[in-house]
Amino acid sequence: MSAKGSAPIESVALITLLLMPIGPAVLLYNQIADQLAAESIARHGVRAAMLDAPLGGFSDPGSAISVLENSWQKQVSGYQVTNQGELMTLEVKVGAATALATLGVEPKR
Amino acid sequence: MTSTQKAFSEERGSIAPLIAGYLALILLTILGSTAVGLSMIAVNRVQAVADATVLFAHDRSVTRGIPSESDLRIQAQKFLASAPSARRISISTLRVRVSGAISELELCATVPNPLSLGEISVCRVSKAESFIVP
Repeated sequence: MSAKGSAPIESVALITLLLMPIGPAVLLYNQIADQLAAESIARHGVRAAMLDAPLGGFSDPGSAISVLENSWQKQVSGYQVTNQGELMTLEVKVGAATALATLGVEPKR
Repeated sequence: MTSTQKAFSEERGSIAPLIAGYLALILLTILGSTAVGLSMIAVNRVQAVADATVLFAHDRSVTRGIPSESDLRIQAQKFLASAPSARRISISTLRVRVSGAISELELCATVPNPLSLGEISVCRVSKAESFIVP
C-alpha cells in the first residue's frame, strides 16, 4: 500500500467540508433571531401603545417600536395595526420574520 | 528506513469516517440549536397569548376588584376564539382559577417537535389582579 498523496489538497478538502455548514447555520441563526425579535417587539409594542393611550384607546406604536428595535439591535421593516371590535392586533416584520400580537382594549367603566 | 518512515508506512485506513464524524457532529449541533430556538419562539408565543388572554378576561369578569371564575372562563374562551395571535397556535388546554382578587390562567399548546415527527406540549401560566392608583 502506498502512503503517497498531497497533504495540502487533503487539508483543503477537509477544511472545505467542515466549513460548508457554517453558511446555512448563520442563515438559520439570523432567521431565529429575527423571529424572536419580531415576537418580542410585537408583544411589548402593542402593550406600550395601549398603556400610552387614554383608557379604552390605542396610540400609534411607532415610538415604542423604535425603542424596542434599538434594544434588539434589529431593523423593523414594517408594522401594521388592525382593529377587530374589542381587539387590537399589531403585526411586526423583522427581515423575513413576521409576528402578531393581539390585546383586548381596556373596557370603559 | 528511519523509524518515522516505518511508522508512516504502517499507517492504513481512510479519513472518510473522521470527516463523516465531524459532519455528523456539526449537523447535530445545528439541529440542537434549531430545536432550542424554535422552542424559545413557541414558548414566547404561548406566553404572549396567555398574558393577553388573562388581561382581556380579567378586565371583563371583575366586579369591585374580585373576578368571577365562570365569567373569566367565558371571556378567555371568547378571546382565544377570535384573537388572530391565538389562532396561530394550537391550544390543547385552558385552565382558569380565581384566588381572591387574582385571576390565574394556564394555557397549553401543542407545537411540532423539530427533532422528531411528534409534537410537544408547551404550558404557560399568567396572572392578573386589579389595582387602584391612589
